Amino acid sequence: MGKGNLIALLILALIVFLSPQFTDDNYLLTIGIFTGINALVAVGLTVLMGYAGQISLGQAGFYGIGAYASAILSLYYGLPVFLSMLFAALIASILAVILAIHALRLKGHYLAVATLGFGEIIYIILNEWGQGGPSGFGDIPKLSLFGYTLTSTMEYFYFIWACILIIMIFSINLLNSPTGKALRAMHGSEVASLCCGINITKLKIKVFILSAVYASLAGSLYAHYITFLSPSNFSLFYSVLVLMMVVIGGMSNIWGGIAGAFIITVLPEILRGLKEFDILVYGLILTLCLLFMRKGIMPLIIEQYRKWSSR
Amino acid sequence: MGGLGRSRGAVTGGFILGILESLTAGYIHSGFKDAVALLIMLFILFIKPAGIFGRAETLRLRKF
Repeated sequence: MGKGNLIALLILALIVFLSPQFTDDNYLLTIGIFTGINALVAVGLTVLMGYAGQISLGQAGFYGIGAYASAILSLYYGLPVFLSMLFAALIASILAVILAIHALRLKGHYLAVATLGFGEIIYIILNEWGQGGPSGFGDIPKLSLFGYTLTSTMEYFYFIWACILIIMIFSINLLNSPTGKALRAMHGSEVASLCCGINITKLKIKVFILSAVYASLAGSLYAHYITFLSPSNFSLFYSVLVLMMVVIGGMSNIWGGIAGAFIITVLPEILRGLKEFDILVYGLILTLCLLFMRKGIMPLIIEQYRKWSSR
Repeated sequence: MGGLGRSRGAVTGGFILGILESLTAGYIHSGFKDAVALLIMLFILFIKPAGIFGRAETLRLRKF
């Protein structure tokens, strides 16, 4: 783990630990929780897009599977919430393997369209066969660990961000390992990395599973926090939103996912005061971000920091 | 679906897709209309990315 990553982890841990000390407003904490849930999906997509060079517009599908599978298993089959989350991740990863095996040959726009189709099919299935149909279902049990049930918003906030810290440590270690280097080589040139003895087929499937499991975990956390699910949260719009987070935050750095999730989640809440003009300003800000910060926010910050420190 | 670089392909693809969509809506469930269209698209992409009438060369030459 590099020095920069270690510092960033410490800063994030400090922010997470301190921010509830200044406020006990449930509204602000809930925004924090949603930022965390979105960040989890965005980090998975960052690994998939920025490091492995594969595009996916089907993250909402995995997110939805995680949420629905975990909710149904714990509500109707009486599994402990922790176990049902694991099973949901297992189901999502099996689907990811099926998708990845077939999508191996596709590149660029074709891959985007194929994953988009997958996400949309999941959405339609949830709409038709999902518990309660389009209007959804409730009474999903709250999260509980070793007999202790998390009830207050504050506890959820800490739990979700602790999950993210663990997952960030895991991801950073993974990306610094030989597997991570192989992923970056695959992004650079598939032929060249094949010649170096990297098994591209296996690697692509693995990275698809990784991003699906992250999305599914985020989905289960969402389901057990809100305790109510309806399919409308898992439509194509969410996939596009996650893509936006990754692009705004910066694809080339894993911290971009968290930065992007923070901006995309918090921005509409700040703009709420503008009443009906909020969507207009929201769109304008995002367009300007893409026009003037092509690489995203995180790489820009790192560049500025390097300039400043070398002076 | 019909195949890029073939105008006949687009017409045939449209025909097949439209008829299959309506059949699903009639015989199975109208909610699955779009799902079937997407499934066919995925199927074509996985089996023969160039499309039914398309040739692999067109796919390779065409850059988006």
